[in-house]
Amino acid sequence: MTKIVKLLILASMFIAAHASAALTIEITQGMEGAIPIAVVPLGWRGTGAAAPENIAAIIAADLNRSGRFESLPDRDLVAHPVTAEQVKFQNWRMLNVDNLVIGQLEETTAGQYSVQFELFDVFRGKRLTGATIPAPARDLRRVAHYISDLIYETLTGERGAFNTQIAYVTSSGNSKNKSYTLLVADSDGYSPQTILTSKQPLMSPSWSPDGRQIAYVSFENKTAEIYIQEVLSGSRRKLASFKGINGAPTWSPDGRKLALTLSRDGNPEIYVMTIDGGDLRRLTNSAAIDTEPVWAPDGKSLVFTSDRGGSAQLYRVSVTGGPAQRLTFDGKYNAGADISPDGRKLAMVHGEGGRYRIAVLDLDSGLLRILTDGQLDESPSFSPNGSMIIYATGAGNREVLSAVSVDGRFSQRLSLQAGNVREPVWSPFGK
Amino acid sequence: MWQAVRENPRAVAYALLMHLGLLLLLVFSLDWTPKSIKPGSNKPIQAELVDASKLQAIEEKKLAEQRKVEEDKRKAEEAVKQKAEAERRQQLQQEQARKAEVERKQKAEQDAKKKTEADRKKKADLAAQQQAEEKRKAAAATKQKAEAERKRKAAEAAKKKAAAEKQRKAEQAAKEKAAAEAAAQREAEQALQAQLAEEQAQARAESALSQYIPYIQQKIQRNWLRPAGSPAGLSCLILVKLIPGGEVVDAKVVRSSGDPLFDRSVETAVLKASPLPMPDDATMFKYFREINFNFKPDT
Repeated sequence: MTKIVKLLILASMFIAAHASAALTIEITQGMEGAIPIAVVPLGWRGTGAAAPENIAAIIAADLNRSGRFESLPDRDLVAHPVTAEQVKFQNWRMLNVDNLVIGQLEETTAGQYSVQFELFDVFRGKRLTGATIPAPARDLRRVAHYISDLIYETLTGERGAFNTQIAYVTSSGNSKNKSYTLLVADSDGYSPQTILTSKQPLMSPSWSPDGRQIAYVSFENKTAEIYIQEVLSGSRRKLASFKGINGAPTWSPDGRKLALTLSRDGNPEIYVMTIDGGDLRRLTNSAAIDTEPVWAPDGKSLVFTSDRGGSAQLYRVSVTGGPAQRLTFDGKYNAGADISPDGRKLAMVHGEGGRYRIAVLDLDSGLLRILTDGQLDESPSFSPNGSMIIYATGAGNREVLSAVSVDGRFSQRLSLQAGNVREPVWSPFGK
Repeated sequence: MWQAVRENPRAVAYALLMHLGLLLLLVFSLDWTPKSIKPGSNKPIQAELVDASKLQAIEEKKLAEQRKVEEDKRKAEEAVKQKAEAERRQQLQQEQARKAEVERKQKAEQDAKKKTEADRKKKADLAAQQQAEEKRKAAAATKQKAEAERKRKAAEAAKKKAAAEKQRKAEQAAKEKAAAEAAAQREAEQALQAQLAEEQAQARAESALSQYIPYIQQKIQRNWLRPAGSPAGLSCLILVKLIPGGEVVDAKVVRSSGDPLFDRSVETAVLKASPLPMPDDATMFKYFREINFNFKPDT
């Protein structure tokens, strides 16, 4: 109320000072929420009775998953325009929809398609962008993600990360007959592709900066070893097989080094190793466990988990070594960090009161924000545009893949894979 | 006559000289006459008888004498003739002189007459001239006087006119001053009234604003969906143009938040909220024609 009074005084002063000058009204309140968008099912022109993919549904799900948009349910669509001429903005204004996506999927030749879309600003009555993309049937989902990226970038000014991939490990079978699989799927969890299957545990996948290779830990030889594998060809090589633990490899931003955890000197410590294995440098030296190193985007420092303070907390150490600086103070357990692409946020597993949830620490303000509501959430990984975090979460008696917007407003379980899903990592932007 | 002589001594002198000349001429003529007569005096002839030779001689002598007589006779005749001629000439001369004298006299008389006439005429002319001059002078004087009078009158008229003009001007100035003062007063009154009206309008506007700003604000806020995931601390200033009835006809971001989604949400909020609540009093619309909305979330 006092605010309104102040506002009135301000407004009155304005009027008294310049009767002809424009009035200024402060707007301080507004419901925070996702921007409503209608994605109309694309028109279909082809031999089949129905389109091979529901492109609009993929786009709508992508935009919803970002937490920044909320697509109109299909049942609420008042019209199904396919071309710009068929769009009546008034219809969409009545529905309070800010943006509208329409388009058409056409089968140009057998198994070959053309996807065309247009994005409109409903209240301005303006076309914002559009494109026509040819694709074979197997790429239609990727084309849909690509369109999602275009829409997202047009509306937010931020690069979309839908047309990217995630790598993760699943385990299945009972204790006598366990099977571990390293997979790569689309960012929405669809189209999983097996990279490697093993009877022994597979752990800690990490993408190379160019997205072509994955480093991981394999116990296939009854001990932890670090491998680097080409995603497309499947060819791989063993990089580290030191005595003791060889774990938690992460690729440096320049792609030339790996940070990793080695216990070759008795105690798990953080090391940096060139990917040709030629140079190995130890960064930490403590009696406690130091592990799970991640690179700052500038490649000058690493953040890792250490229980040197009595409980697992996050620390930062220079890539040249030296003393480590503690970063987390809230909660009894903060571990498994990932650094946002802009280097200003830290995602982690935050343990408090017996619950393990995903939290984000704003490095500028030091404020910690809990994003998820699970009991046992783990392995957060930022999307390459920093807007989302993917993580594994317990669901019933197994673990599944989930994504949460970086503000925590929106989280969604991704397509359910068979078995337990562990340690998801988000790929870099596609090339 | 005497006055004429005195006044023309030269003419008189010439006349006297002429008379003297004529007198001398007459005297000389008288002297010449006896001389001419002298050779005509007859002397007796002496005769003598002579033999033949002698006679011859005598004859010859007689012939010579005859010849001589003849010669003498001829000479006498010649002399007489000459004398007559002289007399004739003298007579002619005298006649001529007389005639000349008459002519002279006539001429003198004529001259005198002429002179007199000339004098008279001259005098008359002079008189006429003098008269004319006097007349002219008189006329000039009259004219001058008239001119002076005219000038005086003109000057007087001018003076009068100037005075009148001055007075007129003074009156006009006074009138104008009075009018200006009246106008100024009127203006002052009008200004005062306008000010009062404006104050009233402002009071009404403030009242209208106090009434409508919260409605406008609330309607905008109801329609503003702050984009989820936008960074904290954003603000966006948007200039909104309205038409009577409150319909938004233009919404332009004048100070961007730097976040496209946030800016877009602000534009959309304004467009969604259209028409904005407006006072019923149409005169109040001018305060709402253009509104700046500063979108600045508290959090």
